[in-house]
Amino acid sequence: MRKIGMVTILIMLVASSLTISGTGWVIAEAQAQAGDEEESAFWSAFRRIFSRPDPAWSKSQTQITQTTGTRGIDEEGKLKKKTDYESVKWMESYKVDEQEVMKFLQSRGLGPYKGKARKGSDNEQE
Amino acid sequence: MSKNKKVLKALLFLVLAPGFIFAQKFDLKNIDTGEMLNAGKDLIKAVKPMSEDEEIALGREVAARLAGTFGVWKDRAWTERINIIGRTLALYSERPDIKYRFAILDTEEVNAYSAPGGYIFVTRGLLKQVKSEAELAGVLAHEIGHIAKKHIVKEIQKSNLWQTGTRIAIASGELSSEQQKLLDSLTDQAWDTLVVKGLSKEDEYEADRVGAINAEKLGYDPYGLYNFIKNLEALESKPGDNLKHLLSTHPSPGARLAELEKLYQKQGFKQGALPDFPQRYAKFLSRNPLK
Repeated sequence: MRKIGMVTILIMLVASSLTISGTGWVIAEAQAQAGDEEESAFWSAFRRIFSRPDPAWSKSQTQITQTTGTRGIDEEGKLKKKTDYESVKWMESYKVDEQEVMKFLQSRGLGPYKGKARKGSDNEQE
Repeated sequence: MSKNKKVLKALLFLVLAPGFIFAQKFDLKNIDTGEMLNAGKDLIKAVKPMSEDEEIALGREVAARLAGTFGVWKDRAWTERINIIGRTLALYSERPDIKYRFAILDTEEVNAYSAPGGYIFVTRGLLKQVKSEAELAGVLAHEIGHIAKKHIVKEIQKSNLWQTGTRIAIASGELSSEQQKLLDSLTDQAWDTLVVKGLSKEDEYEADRVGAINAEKLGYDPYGLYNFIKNLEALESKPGDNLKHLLSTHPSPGARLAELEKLYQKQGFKQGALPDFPQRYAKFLSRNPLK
């Protein structure tokens, strides 16, 4: 009993000190993602200029997470150890042309052009 | 002066007494400090959320398994299309700052997956069931919603594996064999949640709600997701295995439609108020067949 009390107190002390300096595990491989700084700059600028965050929306959502029973277990579970890191690298390094993005949004009246779509734009040639 | 001394003594007693009692009461000699330190670290993990780096590392492993299991269809036109729509949709999500990456799994199955950290996949079979760009946007926004709401991450954080894995999890740089083992186990768990068991119904409804709202913010008809689920409902009665996994890991299409109807009513969304682009989707599909 005495030991449990002691351990509890010391755990609290250790916890408070480590919470400050805790860093978590860092996986080197995850850091070695494509160096697409140029693209990041584009998306970050895009975000700054055009996206319209809605603070009311972000505050209004309650986050409910519940675990339900096991659903749909089948043979797929047995295949789970197959991996393809090359495809993940391809996916990570995939770049989207900035002009294509803007052309796409403008032609449909999306994002910064919302509400500015021309009539019949669904039938336009791309 | 003597009154002050008495007060000072009383204060000293109050400060020192607890330490004295503490030292007397507990046997400090027989404490295993290593055990206590480890117990302390476990406690930290129990309360410490998964960092973004950890989430990306885990998501990368799950993505590699999805790619390894189904194969990735590296069609340039389709990959670009889903990345343009997906990445612009992500800007309206609650986590616009992480890198979202979109790819197509080479399978006839109708499904979509969102691994932690921004790795999103739709299947070639799903793209065949989509009838408009707004439907595709609805599906992608639903998957982005799972990541933005950290649905899988939260499931993992609730697990014993995450809460007791601290001792080998706290490290930096290269992965030790113990860390690799932990990462593999966490990946197994994420895989089971994502592919085998599915998320909770509430998480799926929430991703539907968030998806419809964010598609509308971008400028697509928020009924896109609704119409896509209607397509699934029609498929449900037809024989075939292509829908088996999706139906076993998601609430029934009817239940999802009912939940979405409530949302549309609450938000005042009207079908057709914003464009859904069925013609554009059909033209794109005819120019770029899905094998």
